Amino acid sequence: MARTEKKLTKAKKQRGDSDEEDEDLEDDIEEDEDDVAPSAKKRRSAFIDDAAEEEDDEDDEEEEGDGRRGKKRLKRSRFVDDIAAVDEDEEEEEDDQDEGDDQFLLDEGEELPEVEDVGRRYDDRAAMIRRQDEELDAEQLEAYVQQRFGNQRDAAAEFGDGIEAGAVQQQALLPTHADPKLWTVETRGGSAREACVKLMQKAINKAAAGEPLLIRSVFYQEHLKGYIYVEAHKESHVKEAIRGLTCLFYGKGGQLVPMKEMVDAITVKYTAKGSNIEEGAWVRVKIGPYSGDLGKVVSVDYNADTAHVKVIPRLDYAAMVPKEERREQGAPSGRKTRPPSRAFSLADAKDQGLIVEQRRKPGGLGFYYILKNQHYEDGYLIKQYGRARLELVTGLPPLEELQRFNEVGISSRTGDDPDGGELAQLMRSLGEGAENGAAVRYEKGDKVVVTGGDLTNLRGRVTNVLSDGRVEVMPTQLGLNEALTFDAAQLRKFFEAGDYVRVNSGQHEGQTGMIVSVEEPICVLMTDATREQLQVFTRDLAESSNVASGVDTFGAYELHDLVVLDQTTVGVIISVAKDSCKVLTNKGSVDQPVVRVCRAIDIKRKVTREGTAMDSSHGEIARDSVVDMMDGRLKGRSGTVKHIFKKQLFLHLNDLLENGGFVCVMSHKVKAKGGKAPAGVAGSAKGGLANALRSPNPYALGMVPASPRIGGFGAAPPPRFGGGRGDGPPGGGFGASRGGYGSGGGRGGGRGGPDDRMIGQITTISKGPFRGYRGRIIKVTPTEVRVELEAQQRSVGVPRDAIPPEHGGAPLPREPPRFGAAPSTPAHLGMATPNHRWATQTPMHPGTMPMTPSHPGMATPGRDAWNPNLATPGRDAWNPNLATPAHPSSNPGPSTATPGTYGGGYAAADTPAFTPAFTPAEAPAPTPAGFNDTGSAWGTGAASGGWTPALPAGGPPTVGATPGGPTPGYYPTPAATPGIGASAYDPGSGQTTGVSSGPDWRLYEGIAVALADSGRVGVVRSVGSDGVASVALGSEDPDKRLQMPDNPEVIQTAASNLQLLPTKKKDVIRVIAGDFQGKMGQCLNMADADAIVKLDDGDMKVMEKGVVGWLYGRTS
Amino acid sequence: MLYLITLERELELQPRFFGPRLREVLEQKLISEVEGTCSGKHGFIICVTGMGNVGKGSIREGLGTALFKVQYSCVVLRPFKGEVIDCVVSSVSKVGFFADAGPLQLFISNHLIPEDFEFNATGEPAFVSTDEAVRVQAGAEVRLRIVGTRMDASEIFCVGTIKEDYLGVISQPAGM
Repeated sequence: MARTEKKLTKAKKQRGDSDEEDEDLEDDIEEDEDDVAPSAKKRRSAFIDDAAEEEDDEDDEEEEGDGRRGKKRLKRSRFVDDIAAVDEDEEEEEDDQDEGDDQFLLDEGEELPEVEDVGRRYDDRAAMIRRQDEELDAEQLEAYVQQRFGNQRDAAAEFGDGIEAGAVQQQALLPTHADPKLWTVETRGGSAREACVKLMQKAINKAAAGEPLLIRSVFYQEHLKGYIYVEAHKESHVKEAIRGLTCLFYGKGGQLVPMKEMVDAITVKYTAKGSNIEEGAWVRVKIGPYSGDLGKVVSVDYNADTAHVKVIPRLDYAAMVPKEERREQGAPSGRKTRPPSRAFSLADAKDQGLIVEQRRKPGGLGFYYILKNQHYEDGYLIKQYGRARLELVTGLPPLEELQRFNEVGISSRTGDDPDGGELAQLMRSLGEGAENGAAVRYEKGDKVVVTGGDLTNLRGRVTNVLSDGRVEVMPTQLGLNEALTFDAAQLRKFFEAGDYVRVNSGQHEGQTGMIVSVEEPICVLMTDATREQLQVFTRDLAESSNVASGVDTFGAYELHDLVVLDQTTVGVIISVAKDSCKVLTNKGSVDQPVVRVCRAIDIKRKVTREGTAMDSSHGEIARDSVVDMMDGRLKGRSGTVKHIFKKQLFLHLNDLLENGGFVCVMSHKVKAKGGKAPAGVAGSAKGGLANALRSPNPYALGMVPASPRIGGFGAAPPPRFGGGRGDGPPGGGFGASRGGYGSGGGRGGGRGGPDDRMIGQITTISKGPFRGYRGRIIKVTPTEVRVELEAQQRSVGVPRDAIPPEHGGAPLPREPPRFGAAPSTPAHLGMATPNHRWATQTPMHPGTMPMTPSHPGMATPGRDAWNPNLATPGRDAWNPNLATPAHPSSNPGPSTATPGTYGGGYAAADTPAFTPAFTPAEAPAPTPAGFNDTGSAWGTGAASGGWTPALPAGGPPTVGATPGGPTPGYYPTPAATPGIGASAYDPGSGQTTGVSSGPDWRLYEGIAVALADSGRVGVVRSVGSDGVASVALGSEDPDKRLQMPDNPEVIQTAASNLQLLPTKKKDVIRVIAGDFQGKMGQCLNMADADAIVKLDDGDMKVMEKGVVGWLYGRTS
Repeated sequence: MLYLITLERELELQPRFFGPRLREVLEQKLISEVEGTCSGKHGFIICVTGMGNVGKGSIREGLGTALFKVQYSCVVLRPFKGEVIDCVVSSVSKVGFFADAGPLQLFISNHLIPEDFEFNATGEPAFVSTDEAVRVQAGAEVRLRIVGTRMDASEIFCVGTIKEDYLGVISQPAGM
């Protein structure tokens, strides 16, 4: 219908009988119709468009022959813009064109064919378009469009050149009074564009009628809504032109644009987004599924303001299968994740049953594919984007991305491709990059190689860079000793693997590192700071003699600083880039580290004050301690503590590549290494050697004079002090004086280790007149600690409990209270108290010894403890201080009978409650013969002696045997009852925490235990040679029997922390200590404190409960 | 390369050690102070082999400690560029592997491993040759050439290569 109308109009125009009045009338009527009948509007607008198009078409046809409607529309909008964009030139032209209108009219008239011709031509054209649609495939069409509109770019370029005229010429173009003026005319609504077209049509019609309009031009500006500009000499001309047009306000007339503003009015600043996108440029896509992806512009359509961009496809072939089919296949639907970018693969697409169209490339080489209307070529997706949707990448994109981008092309390239090859491809793209990038800057001292001219491959060093950009090079070969001058372009920087370089520009600017490999034009270097491998262009590198670690500051922070990110998050800066840094936070674990990329504002502050932490065996960890990881994927690796934040450690592992070698780990999951002494010890002036020479400090130089066998039993320190264990002569040393007396083979001295560990530590006194003073512990006795004050030049003795527990002040919690078994021996009956007193007061007095029945036992090496020549802590036993608290008279008794106070505890033991407490133990007491055992043979005898007093499990009947009561007896009575080895007896539970024969902890494997510190129960999985046991935790059922879950939690604990769980009838057991140590058997019955055991070899034995461990879960 | 050289060091000793065992103490102190240290000039001091001249001690004012100038001979390990050295692989990752030669740590980038070796992360991470005959994995002994060294005041770090003739694994770890 629109077409018919058009034909009619055309015909009318041809006949030249169109009347202005008629036209106006017609317009008016149509306008009226508009309001009521939208169809009419449609018709009319179609009419107008077509009219314009027609005009256009004819121009085109003149040039090229024929066109396509789709493209025409774009062209038309361009047409309007073009007029506006013509700038001053246009005016000039028009000025010259005195007879412009006539000319135009004339041309038009001449050209216009007969009516029938027009009709036929339209039919022809429609038919042709149809034919094209049918016949032309995409590729031909593309070629056609290219051919037809490709030259638009050139036109634009030429136009641009025109603008570049000199300033004077430009001035000359400014409008003068003689020139036509500009009027603005208000339009109805937003119909400025429509008004322009109508006016043009009117001009044509009027001109055809011989009454040309006297206006020069009409245009509108997109940014000025509701107005059009009319160029004319007089306002009346304008009025005349707009008369009768309903879309313009005739009544308001035109408003003159001041001459100054005329230039502005017609200037179009063409700053559309993306106008800088050119063919071959690297771009990033701003929107859609490829947002952020790197792409390369294949072609630009300047008319449509679009560009074809080559990107790496992100295809999820499975997701592209139609939904119904997918459901049939049972594949998951609705995946929202962004598919990774990967080269287009025909095989993958076909696997999913997708229909892929394969077509030959226009050039004839290879194929391209069409899948779901998308165009894939060489593995890339060729996608059309508006230029405004693209962001130009300035300079060269990051090398990694570039390579990935190139790899796609390479991987999907077919073998017959002549210019394939990774390197060639890369080189080519880099070559392009080099053009974009700045020229290589040479500096004095750079190693270079000549790449062009006669001296190709000559190597040398830059001696001077001339002001004209040429470079003087001193050759390093051929015995040439004169500097030669080259153009910078003839040179290339030259590096070899192993060179130490610095990156001067690009992403990694400022990094230094060692070159690992060179593949021109790329070097791989290993950075100092993070031990990452970077790929860098050779031209960005310069040799560096300075061994600084590159970029290691980030604002006010430095690499490897501990910084606060928010209230609960801290982290270590592990790498630094230009404006961001990576922080390994404390939120992750060893296996799943959490790394955050932070900008300067994300970092609140730096942590300067750092505390200490406890390792798995409650040893102190300070900064720079070396610790072993006990858990996770890095188990067994050791690292240096760089930072401590609460209970989290930031370790640096030398050979770990990720995260700059840093890991964040909970302090209880590591174990301090003996290799490096804690800071306290090492920090003391020459402490290591001094201590080593003075005392059995096992840290220093491995010199352990007369050290006892630490770790024999009970809470012997976790054998972290490897050097100390087993080094000493049997029975030697302080162990003996510490209640390890007579414990045979010198296994005793449960506290020996911890005390030693205290020495050298810096502590703060927490009680007494010296409260708050800091100082270094220089000497430790069971009751007193001597501290060298930092503030005053003297050392003071303070009670042990005035030292914070973490420095060993209070007894270690998992060290179960225990006492010498002395009181329970028959020998002590009735005389226990006085005996103790003597013992405590003068333990070393030979005279007292015969008085105790245990005298024979003293013949054991334990006696060595009293050798005054032995400079061991054993000496402490004679410290008068010790006697004092132990003295009953000086202690009020039960009130002080807490486990924490030795002396007081002893007093408690002195109370009347004492005797009954041990009464039950008397019955099974063995003969004193046990005491006569020598140290070496003490095992049975002493053990039984020791065990006899074992209270019935649970031990409640013991009146005075609060855990605290007996404990303290331990210290004051060491010498009194040598030979009785059960010093580890724990009255509270009726268990031994460690059989004093220094149990082989490995025997504990598979045995049900309770943990002394937490009271939890479980099964020992394994005990390492370092004394750390891993225990699978279970629970107790109402019958107090252990139950294990299927997937028990496994914890690490010191072996000394293990207590046997009571055995029951029919349990499979293992003998933990004593003569039958290590044997297995079955428990036949339980007596009070004994177990009747049938060993596997058939023997029936009666044993102490405390030496029989229940092998959980095993049946005979 | 290992060298036996003579070096000098000043040791500070507290007065209580001034006595008949002075020399002994000095020796112990010397060993504890220098063994295992590293200097950019001499490399790692592996072992003190003997103590030579002990100068006269000079008392430090106000402290009472004495400074002794001690000459000692020691074995040092000093890596050089181009040196071929036997090492034990300590850890392997996809970017390369670390190897130890005594206290010296070396890194061999995957760029410096022959092309026919491929990284294999299944099980023990290793670089495995195409014919699967050779595995570079933790514990393996490799012979490599040092291509670059970086000497810090307290650390030496080397980059090595096995991408040359006669370099590579010389013995597999036990159990292979």
